[in-house]
Amino acid sequence: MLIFFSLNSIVNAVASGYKATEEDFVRWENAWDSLIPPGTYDFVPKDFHFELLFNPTFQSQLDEAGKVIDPSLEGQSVEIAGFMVPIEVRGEKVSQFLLVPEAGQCIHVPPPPLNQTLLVDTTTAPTPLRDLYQPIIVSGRLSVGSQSFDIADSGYSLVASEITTLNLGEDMIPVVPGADGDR
Amino acid sequence: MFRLAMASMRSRLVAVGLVIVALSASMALLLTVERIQQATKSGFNQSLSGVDLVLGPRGSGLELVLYTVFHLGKPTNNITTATVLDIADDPMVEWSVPVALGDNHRGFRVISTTDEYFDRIKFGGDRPLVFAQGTTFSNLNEVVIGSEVAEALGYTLDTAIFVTHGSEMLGELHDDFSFNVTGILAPTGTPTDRAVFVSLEGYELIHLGWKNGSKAVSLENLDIGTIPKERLFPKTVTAVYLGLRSKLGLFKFTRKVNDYPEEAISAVIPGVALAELWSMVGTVDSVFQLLNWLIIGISIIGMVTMTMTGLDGRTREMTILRALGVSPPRLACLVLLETIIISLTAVLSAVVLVRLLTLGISDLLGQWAGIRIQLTWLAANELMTLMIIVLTGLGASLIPAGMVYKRSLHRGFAN
Repeated sequence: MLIFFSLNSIVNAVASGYKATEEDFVRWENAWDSLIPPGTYDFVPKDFHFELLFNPTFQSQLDEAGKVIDPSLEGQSVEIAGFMVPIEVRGEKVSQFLLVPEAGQCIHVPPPPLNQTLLVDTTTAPTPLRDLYQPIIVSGRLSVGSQSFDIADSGYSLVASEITTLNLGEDMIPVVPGADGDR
Repeated sequence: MFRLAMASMRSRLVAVGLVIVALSASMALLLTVERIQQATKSGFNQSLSGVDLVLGPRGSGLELVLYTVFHLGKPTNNITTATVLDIADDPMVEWSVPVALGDNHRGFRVISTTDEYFDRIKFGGDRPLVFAQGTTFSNLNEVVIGSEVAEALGYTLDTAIFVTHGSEMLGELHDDFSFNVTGILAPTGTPTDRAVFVSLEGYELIHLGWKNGSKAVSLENLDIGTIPKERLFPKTVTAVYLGLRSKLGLFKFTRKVNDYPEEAISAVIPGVALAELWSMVGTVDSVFQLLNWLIIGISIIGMVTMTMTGLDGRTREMTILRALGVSPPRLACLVLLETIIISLTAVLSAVVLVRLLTLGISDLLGQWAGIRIQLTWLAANELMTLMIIVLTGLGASLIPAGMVYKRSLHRGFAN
């Protein structure tokens, strides 16, 4: 009879989520890449001396490259996986959040560039608040607009049509070949 | 059949009663804990809305949000208003509302701020702060109070109050300067209800005559009309609420704040701070859940044990029933029916118990964090949980039912 209980608690506790395949990961990576207009990073030389990294002109070029967005993506449907940074939370649901490619960026790590950030609007169908490190899959229509008076700050926004939690099983966590020790 | 089962149970009332109590108490515990968890999370999440960033002295973002928004914990550092004004001038900032904390009025936090607070700070998604009576402060000696402050202390418009220095009730009273209540806010179910709002200048004034944390000069005979307001603009505040022109600029702006050369400040997105909080308490939640289900398991075991051991004492009853022509399957059903009656009675009393418990605990929660939770009778998912428990109990009682069936097949009239 205690089997009943273990079953119950497992059913309640197990995170149901979409199990991703290799193709999915490639697709999502391409989606993030597609947000950067082709040729933006062409100014980075193939082999460069480490001094270049300390060059303030190069650094500011990198900063500027992060702001370049592609207006031709307007209206395109996209499916992309990332992490949620909640902005507007109502109760246990989120009605507006930023989607970023890597977790933890908002806290103490340099922030993602503007062209790798999506402002997702879920006001019509608020989605559950997830942990900052819980990957999710977002599908919707992209809109490339000016979000503010300052044109330099216009960026990508998305009205989400579907949001799914991504279930990253143990075997999906990438391991460097030849590395030993704990994953 | 039903009357038979009831009559049989009535003869074993004490044992049956105890089982019902145990079962209903454990179910009530499960539901109440779950409700409190959900309501607390909800309550916290919707206490503040419309604010893009909270800016304060460099340190834990979570701590900053906890003491500015929820009045939990004390601020340890301040930031200079020179920095605040500089940040407010940034083209990415649409509005800014500084707040200074440090005093209290009979246990309720005193928040000194600008009157823009009531326009900009929202809650519960997008609900604005509304005045139930009166209006915002305009003179130095005017305050606005939250609905709970008014109710608990019986204040109305034009009541005169003194504030106490520090965040505990026991502190030196600023009794040389009284404030008039000019506005009372409508209830919000958030920490705002337990707050007392004064202007930045009024707060600065009452601390002017203070040195080393206590009063050196009295303001009693001071004519406040003679003081130009600009002279009273504070040099430091505790934190600033900011609204940006574009949400997409959040990251860039936060980095700018963190790299600010003049002072050690940092900015936190309120939603992110709360998400951190929930992930920290998440493991505790799971442990509680597990314990609750174990307790229910124990109660059901108790019920099954009672039924099984009771069977020995009911041999005569079973024999008589067999003699009257009740077939073995029907005898087994009798046992199952008893379980159903016990479980459903337990469910009903659990629902009532949950209602009472949430009532009591919500009062405590309101006093501690200023969060008000909604009281409902029964939600859909709660009903499902209860039904799962009832079905499990039923499944478990198949054992004694089976025992009855076998015995009545073999024993016949033997005693």
